[in-house]
Amino acid sequence: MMQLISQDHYGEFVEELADMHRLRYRVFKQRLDWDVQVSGDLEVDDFDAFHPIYLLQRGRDGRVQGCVRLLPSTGPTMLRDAFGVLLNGESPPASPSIWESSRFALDLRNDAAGAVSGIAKATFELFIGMVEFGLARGLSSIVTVTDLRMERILRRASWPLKRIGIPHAIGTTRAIAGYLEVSRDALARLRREGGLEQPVLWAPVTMATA
Amino acid sequence: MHRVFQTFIDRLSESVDRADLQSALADAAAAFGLHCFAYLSLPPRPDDKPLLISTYPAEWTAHYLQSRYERLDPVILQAQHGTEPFEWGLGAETMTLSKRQQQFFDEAAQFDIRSGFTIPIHDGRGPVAAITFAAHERHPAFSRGVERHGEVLQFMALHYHAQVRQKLSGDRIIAGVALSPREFDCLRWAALGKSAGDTADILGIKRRTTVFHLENAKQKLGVRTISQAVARYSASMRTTP
Repeated sequence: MMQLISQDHYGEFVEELADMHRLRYRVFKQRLDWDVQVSGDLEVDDFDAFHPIYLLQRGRDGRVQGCVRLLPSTGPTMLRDAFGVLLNGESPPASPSIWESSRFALDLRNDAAGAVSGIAKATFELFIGMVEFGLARGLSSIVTVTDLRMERILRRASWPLKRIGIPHAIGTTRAIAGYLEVSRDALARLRREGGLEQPVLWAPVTMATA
Repeated sequence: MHRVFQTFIDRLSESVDRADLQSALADAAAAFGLHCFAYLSLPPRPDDKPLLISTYPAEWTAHYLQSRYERLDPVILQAQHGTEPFEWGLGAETMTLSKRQQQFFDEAAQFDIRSGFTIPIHDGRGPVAAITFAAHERHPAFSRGVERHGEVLQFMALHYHAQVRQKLSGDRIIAGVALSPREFDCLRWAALGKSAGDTADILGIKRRTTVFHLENAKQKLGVRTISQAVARYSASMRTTP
């Protein structure tokens, strides 16, 4: 199950967001040892200050085990403000039909269930959630900065990254920027590959009453 | 609790200056029964002054900054050593204090600052900031507030730090003039032909906030009209590598 949390609902879902920041700490600080900002067991960075939309993936035990952060390309993005070197001289995308995804994380522990071609179902759910989000918003694509390992996973999952420029070493990883297709075709391919025929993304439709 | 957090997030989003940032956290802390806070951001170079946003008594904070107490303050030193939040002061685990440090605590006590809960923030290179919620004494309401809301406070502290960095630093230089990130963003969209209202929609802020940022940009650039500001912006974009 994928859950969408936007700024208007941060208060209602503060515990889930805290769980997400703990997940990000485990993945980006503990596992990957990236240069990230932390306090206690939480990771929060400058781009969280721009009130992104977060997609959370819940395991069968209800735990937040996956997440991705989404920002409109019309405002500050990691590609524009932090990883300009990956643009290879091109201007950063700045369009209402393109959003940027970042802080994509999965910590599956005991729930690597239903793996297809070595990719866990939960990973497919996260990808499908992103495409469903994109379709609901009328996006043409999602731009992202990722690493070569994730690029391979995306290709195997049949959601290949369309590269901008070439890989660069950033910290301890080889990073690459590119576009992910948002389309009904892409959705159909991911659903088929992942064996997930139902919609995955849920979002609150009303504001919480005061 | 949820509503306090939501209000806090929304107010941070609308903050344009120090005063806004100060009252956003002051009000959220007060809602949790915590009446005094200090946000201290450590300077990148040790000789620079730290950034302090606080509701501690002004006389104390002025004295603190002038005396460069951030180098001596045992609470700041402990925040530099680890990322785990901790309680300090009367009733909490006692720290081993030098005579000078004990003197420092006595001075603070004169301003009714005797105990607190501190949240350290570190990045890949080390400690960068700390937020402290302080009290007169370790009375039950303070401890209860910390116990019940400690996790959310940590979360709020990190968000706060991210917002302060965005709003009070990270300037963009145009024609030798430093514009704040928001001033720069608003000018960028004006250069693309967007009205203040359109820009406000794009950036997810109020129209009057966009106007405020554009006015500041004009003033900083020393021009009277938006077109003149846009001209400066475009010229500077052309020459930047």
